[in-house]
Order: sequence, then C-alpha cells, then structure tokens
Amino acid sequence: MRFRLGRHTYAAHDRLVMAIVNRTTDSFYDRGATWEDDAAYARVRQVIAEGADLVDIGGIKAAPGAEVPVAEELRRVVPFVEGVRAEHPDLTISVDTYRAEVADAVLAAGADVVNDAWGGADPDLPAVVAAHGAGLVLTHTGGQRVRTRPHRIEYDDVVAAVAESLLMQAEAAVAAGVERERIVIDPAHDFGKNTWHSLECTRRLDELVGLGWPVLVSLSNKDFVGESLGREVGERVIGTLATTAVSAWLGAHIYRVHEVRETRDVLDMVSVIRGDLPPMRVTRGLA
Amino acid sequence: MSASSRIVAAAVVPGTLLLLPEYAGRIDPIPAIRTAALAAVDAVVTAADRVVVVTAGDREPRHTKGPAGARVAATLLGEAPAEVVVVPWDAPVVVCRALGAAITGAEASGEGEADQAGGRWGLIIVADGSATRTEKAPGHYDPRAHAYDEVWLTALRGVDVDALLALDAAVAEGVLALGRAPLQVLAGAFGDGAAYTCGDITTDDAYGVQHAVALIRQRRNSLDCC
Repeated sequence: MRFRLGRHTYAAHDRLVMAIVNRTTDSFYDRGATWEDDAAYARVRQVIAEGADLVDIGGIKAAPGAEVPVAEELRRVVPFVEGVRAEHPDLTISVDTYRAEVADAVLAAGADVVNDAWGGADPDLPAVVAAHGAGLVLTHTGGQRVRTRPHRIEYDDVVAAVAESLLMQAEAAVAAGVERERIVIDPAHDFGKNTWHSLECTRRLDELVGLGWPVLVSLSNKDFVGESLGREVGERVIGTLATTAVSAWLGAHIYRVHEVRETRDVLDMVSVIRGDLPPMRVTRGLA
Repeated sequence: MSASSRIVAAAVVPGTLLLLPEYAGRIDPIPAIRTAALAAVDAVVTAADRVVVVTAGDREPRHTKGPAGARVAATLLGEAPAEVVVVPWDAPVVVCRALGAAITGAEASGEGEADQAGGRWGLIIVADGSATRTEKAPGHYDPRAHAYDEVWLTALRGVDVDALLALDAAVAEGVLALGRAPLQVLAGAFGDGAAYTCGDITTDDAYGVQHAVALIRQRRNSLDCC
C-alpha cells in the first residue's frame, strides 16, 4: 500500500505528523492562539521545524459554539492558505472543513487535502475534491450532526460500524472521482463516540488499518484521554502520546496533533522499534 | 630482490563494527574514517593482483558470524576478492612475525608461478588501537592508552618494523588494543621495512577507541631500481 498527499508519496510503514493550525478564536485546546495572522504563520514555521509532515488548517471549532457562516470561514482560511502555500511550496496543506464551497476555494488557493471532519455532511464535497485532484480525509461520526456532541449513542460493534461507514464513504469518493491513493480514513475518536468507543477504536485499530486505506488518527488532548486518566484539558499530553505510541504500533499512518515535536519523537521511536526506520545515530558498544 | 618487496601496498584499517552496514543508523558516526578506509582499501586493490586480509580473532566471540575484522574488511572490499588470515588476538609476537613472514614466503615459494599468477600482493591489516582513551571509552580510561597509541601510530608513520614488533602484548591487552597482533604480522611481512613509505594517517578517537587508517606503499625507487 502506498498513498499520496500533496506532492509527496508515502509507503505503508511511514508515520506522519499533521500539525493542527487553528484559525479560530475558541478551539478547545489552543483557545485562539493562532487566530492572528502573525501567530498562525509563525506556528506553521515552527511545526515544520519540529518535524511536521503536513498542516491541517481549520476555521471552525469542532465543538458547538457560535455559528460561522461560509463567508466568515472563507475569510479565515483562504488568504491564509494562499500565504502558507507561497511561503512553503512543498508543504502538504490540509484544510479541515465540511463545506464543499469552502473546499473549492481553499483547493484553488493551494491546499492539497480536505479533512472532512464531519463525515460526509456535505454530499457535494467528494466531487469538489475530485475536480481539484486533491486528497480527502473521511471520518466516522456515527451520523452525528455537524458540531453537536454525542448523547447516548450506542453501537453493537463500534469498530464494525466505523469500518462499514468509512469503506462506504471511500468507495463513494472513488466513484466521485477522487484518486484512490489520495483517500485517507479516520475513525474520528470522540466523534459520535463515548470514551469506551474511542478506546475500543484504539485497541482494535489494526482492524481499521487492515482495510487497506491509510489511517489518520486524531487523538490530541481529547476527552477520551482525559476521562481515561482523570485529566483536564492541559494535562493530557502524556496520555495523548501513550495513545499515539499504541496507535503507531498498530499501524496508523497520520497523526493530527497539537504537540508536534513530542509526537515526532514518539512516532520515530515506534518506527525504529518496529524496524521501519534505522536509529538516528548508533555507536554504543560498536566503536 | 627481497621476498617482501612483492608486497606492493598495505592498508591499515580499524575493525570497528561502526563500519558494518547492519549496525548503521541514519547518520554515519565516523564518516572521515569510513572515507579514508574505503580509499586505502581501494588503493591496495588497484595496486595488487592478490589481496590478503589479516585480522585478529574476536576477543570474546559469542556468535558464529566470523571475526568482526574479517567482516569489516569484506565490507570495505565490496566485490573485490581477498584471502583472509585470522591471527589470535593474543598471539605472541614471535608467532605474529612468523605468520607475516610466511605470508610473504608462501608467495615467494611459488617462484615463477607466483610471479605470473600474482606477483603483486596487497595486505589489508585490520587493526585498532586502545579502547581505553576516555572515561566513556568501552574499557573506561586507562592512563597507558595514549602512550600506547602514540607508539604504534608513530611506528606506522615511519614504517618502523622494530617498533611494531616491540609493542608490549600485556599493555595492549590491558588497553584493549585488538590491533597489536595484526600489526606485528604486518611487521613480519615487511622484512626490514626499508622498502616502504606511509602516507598521511587518518585518526579518530571520538568514542574512546583509537581508530586509524594508513596506506603504506612500496617506495617507487625500490621498484625502479632493478
């Protein structure tokens, strides 16, 4: 299995860091830290220096909150995508949006991937992505409506439900013209899931990897980590990194994160242990 | 013509496992030594019709891979063919000297046949200095290490056969210098050494082990004189 993002081609054993860059005032973790242009451009430079393989730019927080109209979302992300593309010609740029209209504009502005974090909420999205020859991240939300929280959602088998939904979306995206090698699947921890569901998706991640599509996991500082450890937002980095290591061992390919440097080290360490990557520099006992 | 003059070139290279691809990381920790070792071995292969590798056996073999020095030499030689002579790491000097002479003598005893089949011989001597040069060295710090290394490196520079044969086996063992025996084989093969000259030596001890690469060639005038 190989997959492609932007100008880059990857192998099944590659493990990539996707750095979150929010153009929001109210996202749960960074709380508007990169709302201002200067801070956002600085964040992109920093995450590249820290080893990010791609960035994921978002203009709407995932959780419920103030309505962000299309025009406002466009204003938040399109000029920024243009600016990042101009400054970093080879960087893979993903944009987190569920709206086909926004996707069309950011892809025209230089983005490479659309991260459809709300699981096909806009049926026109795949065709737009296909028209630009871009990549598409598909997510499982269990039918949960955009920007709502799960309430009393239950599954007979959450992993089976995730697999079924993602396979259906993937085939639909291929039918809409999206390149097979540019489709990524994401079980979407915490989306349409309680903590038990997210933990089961983590424990059985190898089943999703086995579907044959590149797997993205978005674990960073999420509630399932917090509930597992009894840790509030701001205290979940270690739990996130432990979950990252387990997910990497089980074969996930792309990690959407706030903490780039730490994630890079965790992923590289797992890659080295698995024999997918030589150690950086080895002299102990050999000289 | 002395028998030893049939040896046209000798490379001295370290036996460090850092030179083996199976232990390589993403960053080469000894690029200068590797470059020099490859160049020295290539020079010997180019100059000689037959190449003999001389290496010490491992001090504490716990495997069936063969001596590390032989594998390092094979890596440096690539496709080039060579014979391998393994000398016990603790062989006494008289044994080493005799072995060196025997390598040369075996070549000489072939007489005309040897002259035709392989008149120009090259040696690859796999030899390290001490492994006790710093507190973080494999054998920790031994105050004798620097003096020991200075002696054998100076001897190589001057192709001083007597100084190589005078290396103290007990001190070498104490400072974990696995190269003592192969260097004394080299001395035995070189006769009085007068026919040879040593180029610049590349050295490194970043890991507390004295690595060195030397290329010793037959003097041009000794080739031309007859």
